[in-house]
Amino acid sequence: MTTTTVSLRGISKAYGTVTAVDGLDLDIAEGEFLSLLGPSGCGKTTLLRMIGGFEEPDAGELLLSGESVVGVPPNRRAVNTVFQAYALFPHMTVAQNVAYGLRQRRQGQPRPSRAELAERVREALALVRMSEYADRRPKKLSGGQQQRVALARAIVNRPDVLLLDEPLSALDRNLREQMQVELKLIQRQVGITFVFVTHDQAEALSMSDRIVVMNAGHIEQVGTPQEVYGSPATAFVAGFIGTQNFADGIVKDRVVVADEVTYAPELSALDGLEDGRTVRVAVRAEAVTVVAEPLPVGTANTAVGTLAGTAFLGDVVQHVVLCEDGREILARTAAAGAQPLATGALVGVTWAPESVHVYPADAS
Amino acid sequence: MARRTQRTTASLSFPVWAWLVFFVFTPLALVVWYSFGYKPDLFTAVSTDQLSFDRYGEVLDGVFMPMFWATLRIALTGTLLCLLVAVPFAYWMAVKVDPRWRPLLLALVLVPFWTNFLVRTIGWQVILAPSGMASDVLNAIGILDGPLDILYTRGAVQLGVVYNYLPLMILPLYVVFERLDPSQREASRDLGAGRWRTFFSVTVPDALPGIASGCLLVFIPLMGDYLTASVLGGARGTMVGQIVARQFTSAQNWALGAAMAVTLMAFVLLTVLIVAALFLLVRAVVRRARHLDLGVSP
Repeated sequence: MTTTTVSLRGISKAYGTVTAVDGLDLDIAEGEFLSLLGPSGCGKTTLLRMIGGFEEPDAGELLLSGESVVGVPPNRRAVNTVFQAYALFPHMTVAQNVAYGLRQRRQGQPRPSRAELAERVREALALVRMSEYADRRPKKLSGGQQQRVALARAIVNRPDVLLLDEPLSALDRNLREQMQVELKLIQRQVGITFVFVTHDQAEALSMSDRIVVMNAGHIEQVGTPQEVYGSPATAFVAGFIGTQNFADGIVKDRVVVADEVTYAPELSALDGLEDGRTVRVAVRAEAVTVVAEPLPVGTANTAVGTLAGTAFLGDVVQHVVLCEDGREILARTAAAGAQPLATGALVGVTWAPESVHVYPADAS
Repeated sequence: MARRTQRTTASLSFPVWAWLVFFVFTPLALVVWYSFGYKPDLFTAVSTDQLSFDRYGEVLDGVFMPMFWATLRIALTGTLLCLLVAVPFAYWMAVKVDPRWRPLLLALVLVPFWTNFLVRTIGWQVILAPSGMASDVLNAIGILDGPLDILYTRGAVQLGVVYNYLPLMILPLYVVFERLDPSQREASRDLGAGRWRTFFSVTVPDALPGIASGCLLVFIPLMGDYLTASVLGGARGTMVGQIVARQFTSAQNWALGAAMAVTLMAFVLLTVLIVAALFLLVRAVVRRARHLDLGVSP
């Protein structure tokens, strides 16, 4: 049984008439790396700011390590934040930036001695491999370096929870991927609960212990990256994570018929969906295989069309197949094993029953 | 190519250097030139056929120096009072107020500038008069018994200069406060600092350029101001600007007036340098206190 560090109960927040967060419940376990994933405007940043104390919820209860913190200002919460634009203090050196939090007066704690201060700053800078930049000003550092300093400044206080507000979004791609690995390693090392806000699904998948997928102020799904990727709970989650082929159809004799194409998912996927129900089916582009010989029309989990184009994406190849009814199907295969296909050729596409996800049409 | 760019830049900056030459350096040079001259007779303001430092001797021996100290006191107090009023006001306007209302507030700050400086100051004369509005109000609420005796004192001048120069302090402060990144303040709060600590450790250091320019914008013209003191000061509240002006107008002694003007400029510059040096000293002490030796860097 893990301990809960952050507990949100029925949290709501509105700006004027716009609801940012709508009656949200969530428990964040001690020491976990939790991502809040969603499109912009889904309420993830508002939620983060409420945990940090920069916004107060209109309704609901917010517990930090078991104690309500509603109305408690940010300087009295054992929470620290890595801001999106780092927000380093320009008139202080790197070391002074990191020491800033340690120098503040805290209830029931004596202020650290100079030696202790230096020791903890040194430790924090070593953790993010910025020791040699201790006497520089933030302006003289690159984006990635500033990012590391912001991280050191936030974890030096050993908070119960570290909030990260899209901290990697300003970095270029290579650096971002490198920092993802590093952040995860640092989180393991310090054992602090990380709450990471991102709109980048790849980032969330690669780093998180659990992902909270948010949309329009509520939670769509909470789960491990494998769960969220492998069995998206809603059509929104399916659409947000990965490239999906969506089709609207009707349940008929335990399969889904969408115009000419028949989707035959595993039977359990249709539990509770009676015949005649309109549904939306989703098949991941990675689950679709293109075959050179067209298959007989009407075979379940197949379609026939012309190859409209092929895009080389580096490690994968993406085919676009245009079906006769005008539907486009995307298929992705590993570039290494991809067979060469001529654009305009008549091809077949096929996918496995377990790759078909079915969602009631009214619930999206 | 580079040469061409240079020439373009030079021609584009023509208005700037033309303005500087004709309206700053030439008059300034004339004033300095006159200050070495003398007043030959009753009907001539200045003559420079014999040059000497005598006028400067007259300046330093005469009424100028006590006047200068009195003015310096008014100007330093005035600058400080403007700063004390403008900092909270500009901060409130730039940070707390809904951005939609900011242009309106800014316009309200500028409204006094739409009226002539002299007229505005005479307005205060009316308000501060023993039978004026301020007197009536103070008597009505029981703070004062009898007529208000402030007009034609140094207090009235002090009030007048704070009123006249306040917008010049508010505007640069508003600009720096408005440009500050709100997430810096949030980061400070997040790291455990309270409101006041955040203001003094994060906001003020970032706002220093604005504070400095505001102080200069108020202090320098205030040192040369003679209108406010003429209208509100009477005999008890005179400023050095008045005696300089008097040499050029009623006394018609341009040589002495010019020497006074040059001395005043030099003293104002000296005061600014002394204040700047004090500031740098304080900053060095603060930096030393905040310095953190990690014992790792070379």
